[in-house]
Amino acid sequence: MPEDVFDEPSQWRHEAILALGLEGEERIAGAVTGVAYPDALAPILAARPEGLTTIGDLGAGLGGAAEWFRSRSGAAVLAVEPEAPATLAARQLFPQVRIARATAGALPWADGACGVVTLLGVISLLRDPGPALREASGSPARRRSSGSPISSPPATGRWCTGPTCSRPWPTWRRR
Amino acid sequence: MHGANVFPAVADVAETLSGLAFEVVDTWSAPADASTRWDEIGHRVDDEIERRHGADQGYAAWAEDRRQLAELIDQRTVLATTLVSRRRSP
Repeated sequence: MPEDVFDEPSQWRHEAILALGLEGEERIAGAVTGVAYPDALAPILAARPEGLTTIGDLGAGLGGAAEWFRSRSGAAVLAVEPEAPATLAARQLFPQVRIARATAGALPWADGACGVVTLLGVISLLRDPGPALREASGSPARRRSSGSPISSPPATGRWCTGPTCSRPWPTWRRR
Repeated sequence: MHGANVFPAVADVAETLSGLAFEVVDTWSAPADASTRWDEIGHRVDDEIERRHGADQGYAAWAEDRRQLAELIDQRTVLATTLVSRRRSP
């Protein structure tokens, strides 16, 4: 399957959201595909530190979860997404989320910019999640996050427990 | 990075985070019935996508991928989990 069609489902979803006229929380719900959202996101919101001003979201997709965190927490959200079409769509769907096209390995954030960093459905797309987690955590060489929590929820089942879950899966699903 | 997805065990991710001086402070896993109030909207969007793009190249593979993943989740072979970690105090 050619990589240039990888992001087509995001474009289809964007188009469908606009065609259905979804707004507000319905727009958010239509933009995400994670399992058990928003319940799966609630623990992250509950764990946020007091006085949180900025959240970073790596692999934001269409930005639905980023917008949910922004609207629920009152914090600004800086989001990054590697796919250009999804980045453009997220900007249109959720203009209050600041989204940039970038990868988890090269975040366009200043040191200490984010009090919380989220990776939603990203880990299973990486053969070795270590470098992305290291970059997100700001350690050891870089100190971007001011020290609180890295939240790693699933989009569609990309996190799991138990050894039977460490299995390959075909590509071409995004949040 | 668009190869096959790999689902790591939470313990493995926690170990990686521990090496980065983070500790896991909360773990949440989806229940057997993972339905939420957002599902109805998601189904409407999925139906609209199928109506518009069901005949497009790639749609069938995408839909089949989603169906298989949903099956694995229903079987609890793959467990959707949220993990929250915090940097350890020095």
